[in-house]
Amino acid sequence: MNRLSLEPLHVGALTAEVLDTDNSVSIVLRGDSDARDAAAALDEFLVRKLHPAILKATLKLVQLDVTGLEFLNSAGIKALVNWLLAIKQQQQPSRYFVVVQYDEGITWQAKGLKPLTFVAQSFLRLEPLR
Amino acid sequence: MLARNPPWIHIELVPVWVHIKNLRQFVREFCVGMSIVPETADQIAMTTSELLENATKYASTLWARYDLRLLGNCAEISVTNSATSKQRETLIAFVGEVSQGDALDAYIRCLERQSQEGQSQAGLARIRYEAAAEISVSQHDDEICLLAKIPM
Repeated sequence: MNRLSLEPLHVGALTAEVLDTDNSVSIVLRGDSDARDAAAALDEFLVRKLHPAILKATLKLVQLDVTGLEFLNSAGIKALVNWLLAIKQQQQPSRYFVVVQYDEGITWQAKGLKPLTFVAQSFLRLEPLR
Repeated sequence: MLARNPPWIHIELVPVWVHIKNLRQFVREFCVGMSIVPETADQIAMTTSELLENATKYASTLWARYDLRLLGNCAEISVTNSATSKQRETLIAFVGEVSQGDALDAYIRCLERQSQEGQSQAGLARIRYEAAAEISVSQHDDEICLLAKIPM
């Protein structure tokens, strides 16, 4: 079990899993948001479970690894935005930084994730891994 | 004599999720098979998925007609479905709204607003931004057609 004590999310071909890193956690999204409930389940996971757990653990930086995410529909992208908006609502001392690790070989990711940097200008960075 | 039509797909389907995924994957493979660069093939596949998802939300019957035409300088993707007059009005207003101004700005506006209000039109804004697509809408009787033109 990870340091946030969060079970993985499996909905259709989409998986969200929290893995421990040296000092923090990596939220790993894999697969494809191909199921009707995928975006709603991802939203619930990120906003209602992950976000409060990160705040409780007082983490200051987390990774979001989407290098295994083949496709995310617009509703899934909105789930990510909802999470970022929840972080944005936090006062500065409890706000945490998000590093999004993506794969340049998956063609939608570089352009498709860029809007996130505008939503969360002061606390998100995109980092190409491959 | 063989007709010299551009490569095209025409299919009528019940726009349920499993069919949307299958068609997205098929369309991508079809485009790659037509020697379209992977980035554009992915944009066409994404547009296919978002337009069909749209048809699940703004439709009065479980039916949609999907068309893809690979022309020399652009790909035309359209989805036609039956819709109530209220649904048609809503979609026409959505297209007008997401077509205004810079595509990235319009998409971000949609993502932030939708996140707050729980409604959906980010798919159309995403198509315009990620695929650099021109989106238009037309209606005939009780049918509405969304057309996206992606430059190639």
